[in-house]
Amino acid sequence: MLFTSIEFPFIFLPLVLAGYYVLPFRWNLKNYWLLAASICFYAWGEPKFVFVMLASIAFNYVAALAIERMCERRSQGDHTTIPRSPFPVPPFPAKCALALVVAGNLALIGVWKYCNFVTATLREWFPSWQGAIPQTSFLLPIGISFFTFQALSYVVDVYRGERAQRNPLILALYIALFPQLIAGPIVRYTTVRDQLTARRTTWDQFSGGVFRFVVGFNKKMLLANMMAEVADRAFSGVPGSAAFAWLGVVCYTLQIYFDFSGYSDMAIGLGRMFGFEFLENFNYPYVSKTATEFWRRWHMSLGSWFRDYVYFPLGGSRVGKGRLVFNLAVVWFLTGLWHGANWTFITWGCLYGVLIAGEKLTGCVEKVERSAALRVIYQPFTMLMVMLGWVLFRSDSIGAAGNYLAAMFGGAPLIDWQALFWSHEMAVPLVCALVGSAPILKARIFAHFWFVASGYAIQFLLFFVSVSCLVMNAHNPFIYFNF
Amino acid sequence: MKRRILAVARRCTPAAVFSCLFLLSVATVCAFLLRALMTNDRISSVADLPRTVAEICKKSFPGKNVFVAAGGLAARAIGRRMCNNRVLLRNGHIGFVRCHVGDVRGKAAREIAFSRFLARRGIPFLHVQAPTGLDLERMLVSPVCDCNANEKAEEFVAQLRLGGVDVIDLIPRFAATADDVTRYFLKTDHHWNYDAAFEASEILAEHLAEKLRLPVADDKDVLCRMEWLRNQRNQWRSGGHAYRTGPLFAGVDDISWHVLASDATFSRVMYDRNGVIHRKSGKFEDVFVNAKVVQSCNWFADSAYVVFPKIAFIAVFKNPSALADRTVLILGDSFARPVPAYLSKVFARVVIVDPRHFRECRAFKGRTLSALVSETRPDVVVQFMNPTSLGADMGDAGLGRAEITDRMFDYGLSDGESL
Repeated sequence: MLFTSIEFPFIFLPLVLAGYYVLPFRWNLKNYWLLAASICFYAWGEPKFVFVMLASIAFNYVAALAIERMCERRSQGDHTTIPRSPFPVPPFPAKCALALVVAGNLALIGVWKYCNFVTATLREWFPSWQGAIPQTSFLLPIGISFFTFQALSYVVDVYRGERAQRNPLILALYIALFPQLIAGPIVRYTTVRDQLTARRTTWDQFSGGVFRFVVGFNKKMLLANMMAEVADRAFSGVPGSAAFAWLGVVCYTLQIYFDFSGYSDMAIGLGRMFGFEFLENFNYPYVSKTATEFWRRWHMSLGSWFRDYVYFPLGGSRVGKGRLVFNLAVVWFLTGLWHGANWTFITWGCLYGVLIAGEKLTGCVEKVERSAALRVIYQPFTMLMVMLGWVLFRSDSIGAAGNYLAAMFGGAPLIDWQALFWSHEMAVPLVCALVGSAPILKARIFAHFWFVASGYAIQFLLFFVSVSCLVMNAHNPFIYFNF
Repeated sequence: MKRRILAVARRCTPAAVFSCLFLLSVATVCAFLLRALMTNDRISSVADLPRTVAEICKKSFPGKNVFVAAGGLAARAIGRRMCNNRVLLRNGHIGFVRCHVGDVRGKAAREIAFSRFLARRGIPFLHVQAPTGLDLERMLVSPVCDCNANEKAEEFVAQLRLGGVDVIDLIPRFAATADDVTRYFLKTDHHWNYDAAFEASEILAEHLAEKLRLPVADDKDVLCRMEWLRNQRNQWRSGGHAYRTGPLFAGVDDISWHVLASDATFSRVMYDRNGVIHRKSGKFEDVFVNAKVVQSCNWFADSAYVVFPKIAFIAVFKNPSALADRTVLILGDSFARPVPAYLSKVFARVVIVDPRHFRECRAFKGRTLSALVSETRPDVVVQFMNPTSLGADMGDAGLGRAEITDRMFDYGLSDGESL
């Protein structure tokens, strides 16, 4: 089930909300209702893989309890604080247990997500081994990357001193909560620990959640889907002209932003409706001045996850230059790999590794902040790199990406009828998308009551139009749906 | 009291009002959909539930056509020419973004084999190739349209002629009128209108009369135009049907249809999906014209192409006072739908079968077209189709699916018979 299917906002959500607000919080009834709803939500689209998710939850629940016992942590009342040192030194058995748990979780992703890619690559590189290496064809369980990373973060946090959750159903709720289950944001256990067992939803919080959900819905249904019309055509083959190639990549840049940020808005909005406050996942990434800043604004939950669980344990930036480059290479290789089992994603990740490493080694980030002249040059360069990265991200193969890039930079005629037609067709949506991708509407002038009230009215009207598009369109998945 | 009012008013922030409106609208729609779900008797297991819910959401969605119309209006409001995978063509019609027909040789070979099967049984066979309005005049087609349907149909017809099949190719005849596509084709639909169907039926009737040596006076055309009254309904509102673009995107259609001025008593037999027979008899209008549809004329009615009844499976029309006591069997798609109405003046029995769907009727499950021919014992068989039935890959996922269009050429011949 998708948030942008008719059955979600008009059948599933009303029923879940009704049950949630009818049931008391006592005996965790609200939580169990949410858990049941989340499992139904996942099973609706993946009736078999729901057992994979439940098995992952059970495995991590037992593992966390075992690691906590090994670390001999004792609770102080109902809470424990995270130890001052970010890297306490637990006993060796706990380290081994953690290693096994991490390996187990990565094996889960490894099998379902990467096995097909690995076998195909080995068979291609070593044709003589084709007889020994069968081509696997595992189906990808939806959201496996997200819920596995959440589970991993939980176990590592317990290893670092967090108190393990005693109630398996509450842990299951944390991992399987439907707003963020299939496409993030990746929620840390520490941010929702208290909310899982004690939360109250105020009317303002609920209203804010509703509005946020509708904004995200409109972003996805209107802006992202319209940009997709051009992007899908441009990337379906080699673009007929450079103008159309550039138009295609601009549209894809906007499509992926509104698709993903729209989904995150819906997830955050839904969380608020049930009393959860999730952290923001996007902060207008396309106004970034450097690649480093871009990743502090884009998919922030993933960036912070890799920072806290891979980059910092490797030593972070407090190491020599050689080791710094190595750390960044590992992080960005894994970031690319996380996004998909294809060389295009790995190359895309490595592109950012090179950019960010270069910025760190040259001190570019601080220089750009201080110098307006440098900013004028470097900020467009950053945006260009981001867009070229999206070409890699969107293409089916490195070769296809190469052909597309060639078309962008002189390998095709300058302009053709497609570029003219789609420029005209997309004029208004493009302007709206460009305005929406920058924090223009956050300016103080728009904080006036009548602007705010108009904003609500416009969003309600747009929701009606979004539902119209939903009724017309048959299938409407998110880009990050398959991660 | 005043304090209470002020307290309530303070809580009525824009966000609160917004939330209330949102919840109200969602609750209303939820109630309608749940009611539809609970009255649905096709849920036999939990595994069926997701599919059934999705189906109900798509088909029983309350105000579906209102939303479709709103979507079309929104698209026009921002200056778009594309909506719901349909594009507003330069001639003011809407067409599919993609209407691409693949290789036609295999299908031509099967139809040639079928014509030889009929020839061995002494039954004449005729193929009538109707045009589609989508790419009738390429200059009028929007550059974004990928449509080669008429072109491929000409190639298909050429293959049939090489195989010795008798063909009436209507494409050149209607291509000559491409400057005024509205004259013969619906604006909001890929079908032709009833004026086009009438003229096509005239040509067909003349050809069949000659082929079967029917008794027709030299100075009279077979259908006798003077005996037909032409009705017209201007600005007939349509466009919400089948998730199209609504009446506010590309406008609405005028519809016209013909009624035979005759006291003859006609009858029809039609089957529904469960195999239940529905009979009707009376004057021409009682049997052939869907009066309720014509009179309703509301903004969210069906397509303008349903004045004559929709034939999903099989229908048999009879006219004891027809010119000739003969039976014609038509294997046709939706373009053939009006033809029985016009041919019933000439033929005592007109049987029309939609090869794509007739096996979905319980009464005909597992039957083949060749078996139907044996049962019907027609004097002539006519295959009547438009180019998109050649297997077009169309912009709307609900149309032109390969397996559906392939059934147009699935005659159920054994290998020995097809040689």
